[in-house]
This record gives sequence, C-alpha cells and structure tokens, in this order.
Amino acid sequence: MFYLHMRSALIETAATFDRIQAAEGADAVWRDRRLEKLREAAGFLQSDEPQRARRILESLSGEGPDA
Amino acid sequence: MKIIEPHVHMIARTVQDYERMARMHTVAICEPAFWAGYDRTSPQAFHDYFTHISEFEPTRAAQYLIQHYCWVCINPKEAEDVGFSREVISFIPEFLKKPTVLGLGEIGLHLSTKNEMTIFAEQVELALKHDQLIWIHTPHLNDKLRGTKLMLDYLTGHGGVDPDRVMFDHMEEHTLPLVLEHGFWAAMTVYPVTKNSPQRVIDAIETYGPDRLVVDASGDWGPSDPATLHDTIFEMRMRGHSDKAVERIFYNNPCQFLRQSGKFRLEMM
Repeated sequence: MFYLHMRSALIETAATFDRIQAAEGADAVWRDRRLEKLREAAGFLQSDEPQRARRILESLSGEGPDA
Repeated sequence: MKIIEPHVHMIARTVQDYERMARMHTVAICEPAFWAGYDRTSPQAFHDYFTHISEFEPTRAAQYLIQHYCWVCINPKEAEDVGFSREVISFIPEFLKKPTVLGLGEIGLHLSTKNEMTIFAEQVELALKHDQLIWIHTPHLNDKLRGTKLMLDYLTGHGGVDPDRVMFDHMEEHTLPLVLEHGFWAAMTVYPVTKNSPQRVIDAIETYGPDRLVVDASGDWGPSDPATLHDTIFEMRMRGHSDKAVERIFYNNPCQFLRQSGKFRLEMM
C-alpha cells in the first residue's frame, strides 16, 4: 500500500516539474529560488539517513514569507 | 456541453452515480466487460454478465437520460485458462448482434503470459471476422510498458488490423506516444493513485495534441469515481482551453471512434 502511494506521489511530482518546464516563460520560473529549493530537497529522498521529512522541512525553512 | 464517458463499469455502481453523471451533462457511457473483483466460477457466469450489461444496464441508464453501450469479451485477468476462455468466446457472437454492443473489449493482457496472449489473439481474430471495434486493456503499473509493447507488436505485425478501429486504454506518459505513433487511438484513465491525475491527462493533451485521444474515469468496484472525468474537464478549462477544444476531447473524439461501430447513436457536434 505504501508503495503505490509513494509511486503516485513521485510521478505526480515529476509531472509537475515537466509541466513547469514546458510552460511559457519556463526559463525564469526554473530559476525561481523556491523551485531550486524543492529540487535540492528532493535529494534527501536518496539518502539512507532517517528523518527525511524533517530535513526537507528544515531545508525549506527560514527564507521569509515568500520562500 | 455534452460529455461521453467511454469507460465505466456501472454494474459496480449505484444509481446515484447515474444521477451525478446526468447532472454533469454525461449523455452516453460505455461499459467494457471486465473482471468482477473475483474469478467467475463458470463460463455461464459470463453469459449472465453479458446479458446484464447489454440488456439491464441500458434500462437503468435510460432513467437518467443516458445512453448505455457495452463491449463483450473474456477479460485478460480471467484469460489464463485457455479452455475456459474459449467456452466464453463461443457465445460472444450472439451478443455482438445486440443493438448496444459496440465490439470486443476490454481484451488485452494482465500479466502478459503466453496463455493471455493466445486468448488476446483469438479475440482479435473474432473481432476482425465480425467487423467489430476493439477496446484494449493494458496491464497495470509496472507491467504496463511490456504488455503494451507486446500487443502493439502483435497488432502492427498482423497485417489485417486497421489501427483506426482499435483503442488502447489506460495510457500514461511512457505508453501514450508508442500507441499514437502507430496510428491507434489512445484513452487515458483518471484514477486515484494508480493511474493518471486530471493534471497529467491535460499535460498529455498539451504535449501530443487532441488527435485520437480520449479520456475516461473507468469507475468500477474499487477506489474510483466517475466524477474524475469532470474534474479533468475543469482542469482543461482552468488552463484556458476553449470550450470547443474541451468538447473535442470529451465528446467529439469518443463519438468519432465509437460511431465506427454503426450502433453508437449520438451525432458529432
């Protein structure tokens, strides 16, 4: 059960990146700091270290109300 | 705007779904023959099932001003027993004569075994012999790519199959372009968790264009909802597509494919 939901979430996230990249004005959006942070955060998924959710939340924290 | 739902298993749904679909402007639905959630214990059970979807469901749908059509076949999930499958196939021709039966479907593969492939091929031959449309179920999840390629290879190498009369269902990003580039029709299923989201379906339409592409919700006895088709319409409209473009995907395209049966009674808009 976990597998199907994780698989779905991963594909949906990948499709969202594709959607953004295919959109008009994608070059500017691709350099948006928030998107960069999301791409960086995705790296925690490949780690063997626990507390991935906490580390992703921490990596997305502390850049002000627009971050 | 009128909507055609090309794939829904109403035998597993309540009248509330008919009512909801009618209120959301669904005017016709199609019910392919498939697995019931358990393996049927005799070929006769399929005879009863085909009778149900070709005679009873149209009367239930008509109460909500919806035209109900169906497809008949031995589905791939119950096709491993070749002898059993051939008994079911033996009485399919009598159902093909009924006024709301559109063709053979949803035939296809489940685990892509040799026996499944044998029965798939025999049902393709039956469809060709009786000049019927074909609706294809492609395998779920991680079996989808291999099974789709096997069926594509078979049909493109056959020599007697017109791809314009064949629909491959449950397409996703990795199988959709394969099917379209060989001239077949493609259906994308909107399904929670295990198939497409409304967003991914509209992504595909924007990427590959509207030709030979339809969308269905494939509502059945599991986690599914006929309203996901309408969620997808809303997503397409929210992205700024014209009403005409939406109508093409959700009415005219399925209408164009299904009218080839000679039995589908709705007109193109």
